[in-house]
Amino acid sequence: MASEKKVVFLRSSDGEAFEVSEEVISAASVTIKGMIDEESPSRADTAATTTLAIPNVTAATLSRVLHYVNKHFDAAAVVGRPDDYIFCAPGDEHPLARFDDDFVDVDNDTLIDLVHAAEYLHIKKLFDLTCKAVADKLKGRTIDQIRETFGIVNDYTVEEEVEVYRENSWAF
Amino acid sequence: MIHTQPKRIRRTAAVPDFAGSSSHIPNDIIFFQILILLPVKCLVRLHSVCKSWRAAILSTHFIHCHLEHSRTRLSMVVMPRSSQPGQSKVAKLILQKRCPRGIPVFSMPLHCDGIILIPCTTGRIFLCNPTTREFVELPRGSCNVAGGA
Repeated sequence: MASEKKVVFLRSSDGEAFEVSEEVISAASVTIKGMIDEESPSRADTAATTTLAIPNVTAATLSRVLHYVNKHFDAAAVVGRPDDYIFCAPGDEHPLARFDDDFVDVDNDTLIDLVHAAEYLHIKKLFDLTCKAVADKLKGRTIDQIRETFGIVNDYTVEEEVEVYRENSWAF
Repeated sequence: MIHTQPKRIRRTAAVPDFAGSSSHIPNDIIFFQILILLPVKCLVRLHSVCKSWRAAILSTHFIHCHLEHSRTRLSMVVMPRSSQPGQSKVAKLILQKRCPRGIPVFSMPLHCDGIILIPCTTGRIFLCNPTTREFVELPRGSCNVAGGA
């Protein structure tokens, strides 16, 4: 029997369904692989396609995640070595490095949503990539901007803040 | 003449207009997946963000994890040894403020986990963490056993 490529549908929190190759998403996401494995016995001999609810991820984020997943985990599309490379030396560039750079070149909220999605879906490569991107962004930010990024309330009194700054002024 | 002092607007309720989803990032991820990637100098600046960030960054657990994470990156400290007795140039380099008279002539420095131990020929011993610019002199110990009284 000719084996058609199996697909699954992922339904975002806002109700949009996305089609993705079962093989690709299983390789990428530990969470979804677990869901598929749980479903398997019940659908072994039915032709029905599976739809999995992804309640924590919006359509906008899910479509980005799947774009990344298809680029990185589709064996037919992956070129070069598939191992971890985000910390490799400059010049030793992975073919997908440029894709990754563009992928995380997004606004703050989008990036944070991707961190969440990668964590929830358990896609380690994407999680590492997005965390590193957040860290890189932090380097160039002022303290006020960082507070805003993470929704942090400044709980120092003026005197305390001056004191902490004075202690560490060499680092500014 | 009217002096207008630059107004410092303090946002006590600093919740941004659009908190977005960002505020929900668990601290565990913020510290141990994101901040852990930053260089020490950057982390020192982040003490100013809020009290809990300062406490977390200074916690032994975070420091330990950051150290483990940084081991893959090589670093080097150059300690020039002065031929002149009494003072060494490295003293001037590292601690203009804390030790204004410099470190006396020292013998072979030792290092571990980024901390440098500087034993001086006079018997004084200094510890220095160049990345955080911390510098302390250890209390005097007892006499050198090997060297007799």
